[in-house]
Amino acid sequence: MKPAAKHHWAILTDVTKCIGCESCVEGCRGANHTGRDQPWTWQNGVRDLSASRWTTIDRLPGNHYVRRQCRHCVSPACASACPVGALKKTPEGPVVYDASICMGCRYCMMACPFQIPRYSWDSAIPAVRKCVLCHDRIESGEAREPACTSACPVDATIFGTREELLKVAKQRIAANPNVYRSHIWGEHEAGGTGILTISDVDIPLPNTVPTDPLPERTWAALRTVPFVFLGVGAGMVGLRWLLGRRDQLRLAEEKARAAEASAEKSEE
Amino acid sequence: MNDQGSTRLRVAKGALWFFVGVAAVVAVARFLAGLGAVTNLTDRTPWGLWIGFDVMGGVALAAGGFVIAATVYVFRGERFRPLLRPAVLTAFLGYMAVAVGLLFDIGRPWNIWRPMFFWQHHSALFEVAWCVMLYLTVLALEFAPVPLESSRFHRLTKALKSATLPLVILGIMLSTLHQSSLGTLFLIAPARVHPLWYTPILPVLFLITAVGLGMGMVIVESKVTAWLYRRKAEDEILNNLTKPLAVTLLLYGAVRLIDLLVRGQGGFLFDGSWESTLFWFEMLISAGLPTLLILGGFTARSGRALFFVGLLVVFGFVLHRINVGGVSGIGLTDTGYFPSWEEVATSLGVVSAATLAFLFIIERFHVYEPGTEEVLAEAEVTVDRVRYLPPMATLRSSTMLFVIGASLAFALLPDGLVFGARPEKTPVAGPRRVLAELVSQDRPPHRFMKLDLDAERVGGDIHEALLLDGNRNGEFAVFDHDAHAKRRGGAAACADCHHLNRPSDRETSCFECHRDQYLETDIFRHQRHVESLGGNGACAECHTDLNATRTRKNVTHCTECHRDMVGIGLKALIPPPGKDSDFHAPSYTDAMHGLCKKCHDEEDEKAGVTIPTLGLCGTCHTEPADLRPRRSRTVKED
Repeated sequence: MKPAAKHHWAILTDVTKCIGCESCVEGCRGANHTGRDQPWTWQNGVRDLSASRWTTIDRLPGNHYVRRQCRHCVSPACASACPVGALKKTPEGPVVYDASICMGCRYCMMACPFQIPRYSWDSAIPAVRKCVLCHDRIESGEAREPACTSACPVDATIFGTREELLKVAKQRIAANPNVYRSHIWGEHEAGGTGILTISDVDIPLPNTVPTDPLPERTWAALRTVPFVFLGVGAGMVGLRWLLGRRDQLRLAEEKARAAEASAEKSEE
Repeated sequence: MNDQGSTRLRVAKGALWFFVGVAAVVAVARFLAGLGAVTNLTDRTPWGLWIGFDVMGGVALAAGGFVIAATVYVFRGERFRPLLRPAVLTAFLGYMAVAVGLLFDIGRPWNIWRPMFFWQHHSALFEVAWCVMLYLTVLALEFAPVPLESSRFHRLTKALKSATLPLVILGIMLSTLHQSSLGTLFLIAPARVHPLWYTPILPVLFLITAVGLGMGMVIVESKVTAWLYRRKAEDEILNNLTKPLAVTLLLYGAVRLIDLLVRGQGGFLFDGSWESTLFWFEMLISAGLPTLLILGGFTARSGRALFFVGLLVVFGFVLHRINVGGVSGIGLTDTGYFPSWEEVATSLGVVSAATLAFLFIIERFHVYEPGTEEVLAEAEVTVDRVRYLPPMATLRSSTMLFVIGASLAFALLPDGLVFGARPEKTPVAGPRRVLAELVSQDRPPHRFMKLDLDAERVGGDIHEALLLDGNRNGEFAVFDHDAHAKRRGGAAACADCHHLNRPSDRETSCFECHRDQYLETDIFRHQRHVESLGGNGACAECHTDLNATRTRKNVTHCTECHRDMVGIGLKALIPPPGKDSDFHAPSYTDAMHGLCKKCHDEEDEKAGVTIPTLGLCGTCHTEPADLRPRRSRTVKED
């Protein structure tokens, strides 16, 4: 895993500021041409994330609006799981996707601890769909920030570098400790994510989002592979030789004993 | 051609052909219409039966190949040699089934070769992919001498035979890696595997189960073919397998329980949840019961007990893999996944095809020991083994079931398989009879029905209407039944909505015709209100306090003007003031731009102005910071 680049792109979402207008959703839809929402059987509802909705707003009780999107983990489980590198972590931070390489195994969807990647199940040529932080548009100079943050009318969600936004988040919490929970979602979850959220209510994340980077759990097993491979090979060859030698000795012993016996017989 | 063997063989083959036939049709639909049309997979449950059973189970069943090969060549168990060829053949066909199953499951199968050239060594699936490819090749080379030995290629056969030992060793190395890698796959998904199954030593557990499965599968396969072909099973040899099998099972049980205790998850064992029941059931049939049967001496006495033990082990360990692969995570992911009949049919079809290939090969080549082989030859047709038999020559009554299966699948094909996946239908809730006033007006919608709660009888503009909840979200719509009937063609149109010809369908969802019903729409149109209230001067009509920031909280509520929008006894379309409202207001930008920019743009276009006067942000927003409306909004006054 590459170490995180110094200037990791990030988004800070402030739940206290969000009015739930979904301008970000529409901004994303327009910029990424995701298509219209439809009530497919494989999603929780039209409002849930889907192949045509890369970001959405969860409505918590009491008019609290929490924006959900790909969190662009510092060490992403999806990218480490991808067997062909169709999903990859760019040096700038966003986790981007190349459909032409993808073989459609959907291991990324299994691996993501936040359950973010979606699939275009209705298509005969399906693809993984998720927020890419408008990496292509920003790199090409078409935009200076993701469509969602530029669409936000109240600056509830802002774009910047991770360090900078972490500072902003801490300042906001320090300035209003009675309003905010003293927790920055995304600072440590799953080893840190590019999407930071501060809030006046608890944000329900999927169960068991760990604090350690998930790719390391796989790597703990995978790094032993060459040793196991060669070890088993050597072991098998050695065992075969050993057991062959045992049989050989036993055979020789039996032969000798038989010869001895016959010699004794002839002596008599 | 004679009577093609015994009845049981014919029935078995017929059933297999039937499943292949069904699967063939489903397969065509899957590739034309996409995964969503055939499977019940969801965004929450991206891996289903095809991975859980075909791949996880298929690889498991194929474990017999490397276990028996290791026994014969490494552990020098020459007496097991009669089991070797069938085991290697099972492994080869098992892996072929996995490969074919994967082609169905992965979304873009034409990219399946990519892992060969795009190396991602940190992905467990990358390792699995490589091992499957290599091991499939190794197995093919290992088995190749069997069909080749009766052919003209003597030199090739000899060369392959002399390479057997290195191939076997390589096969064991690859199997070790990739049986365990199947466990590694799930290390990255702790959120999807229940703590009773999730452990960092999953790879080790998978390797142990593979060894057990290998032995179990050899027993099952030997007994089944013996039954099918009325030949004598290799009971004495198989019984020699039971001792190492018992050791493996005991080791497995011990490792699992100790691991649970070491990780401190022992509490889950007795918490009475369905996962704990599943765990104990799985442990009982995979490790507990077979060990008891072996150690109790039942298997040595009865061939049936031996078969039963083999079945238990195979079923138990495949269940373990399926549990890790998804079932244990049902509670964690809160998924509603259950495989569709198309998924089940495809899985059965792939396994059936592999079994047919197995039978085809053992009937033609020296797979079983000479003694049993003659029985095989008698059971099927008398085949001259040297001459190649064209596949069509074996088309007999059993293969007719392929056609029957395919036809049945065609008949069962739902719309989704033919036209592709469709958005979900939601049946209509209601209806309830009400009286409503038919309102006509100049602007759209030119004609609509308005609920009239004071009306007492039909007459004049008062009509009978139905209250329907088209998408069951608790919000009812006034549905003009008569107008719909008239538009659809009068009395003949009943069946359009009331599916009289489809007994299980009660009524058609509104969505079937009104496809945009579920799209998010603004039920409040700011621009229209601005127009009808007199243009730019009208802000104060609703935004009574012009100095305050304009939010939903301080705006005049809809019901202040539209008093008839509040229903009684229904969930109101627009909630009364004070209650939580969920309508979409326009964003501030849209509201403000709509006031000036819209008209100017239209006028500019009419006049043919190339650079619209208000098309440039800087025209109004004099400071760059103003491009994002926030603290200070200094708009240049004209």
